[in-house]
Amino acid sequence: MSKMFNNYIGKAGQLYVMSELLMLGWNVAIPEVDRGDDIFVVKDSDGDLRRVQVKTASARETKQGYIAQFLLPRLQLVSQPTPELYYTMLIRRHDRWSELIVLTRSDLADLLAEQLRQVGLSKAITLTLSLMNNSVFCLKTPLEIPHRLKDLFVRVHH
Amino acid sequence: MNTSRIIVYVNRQLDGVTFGLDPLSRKQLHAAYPKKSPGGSVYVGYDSKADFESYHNRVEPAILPILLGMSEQEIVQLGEIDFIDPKTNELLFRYINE
Repeated sequence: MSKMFNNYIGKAGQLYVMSELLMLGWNVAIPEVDRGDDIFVVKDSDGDLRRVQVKTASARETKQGYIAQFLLPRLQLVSQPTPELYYTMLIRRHDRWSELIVLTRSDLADLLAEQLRQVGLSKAITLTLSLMNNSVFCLKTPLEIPHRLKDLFVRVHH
Repeated sequence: MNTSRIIVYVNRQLDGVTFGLDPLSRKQLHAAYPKKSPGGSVYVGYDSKADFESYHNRVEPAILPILLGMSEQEIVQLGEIDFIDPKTNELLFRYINE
């Protein structure tokens, strides 16, 4: 797969996440100038604004399930901007999007706290997620915090 | 508290600054003080950049009780606390308990 095709995968992932957010009743927009945020997400009723980063990865099969790896920039994880940033991690498996895992930047930074201290400036951190029996594991421990889109973007009724 | 130094990241934005506790520091604080609940971040807005420059070195100690969820007496026991620019790792301010 060429590097160029990564752009197509990235755009496909972005549009998929936007579609899912719209189905939950949230409004979405792509920033005109790319400064690192992939999607602006707004609850129209009260102006609740969130920033969303979309990450895509292909599944790699294991004996128990599959894993997916995502590259996350260290600076973005420790910068703590306002409003909060949400990472949506989308996994491609068997020619379809099989899993959408969502974590806030602060939850992700907590999960990767030790690694964030160890890596140098401007370095990226690899996040490996394992999926087994409908459970998500990060660093071999089950992900017990809410990590489904509908948990973090509660349905808006219009 | 037998841990490494507490770090607060200082993220400058267009109209303000977000002070955020380093994730590892938060873990250490939670382990040492399970009943305390340190906040994630504190945002300080300003009307002009000049305003913020005048706050510098004065606002940082005032941020700590809110950010750490602790009283000033408790914060004194934590040792030195570094305020760091996450983009450059530059030390912007060091809180020293005296």
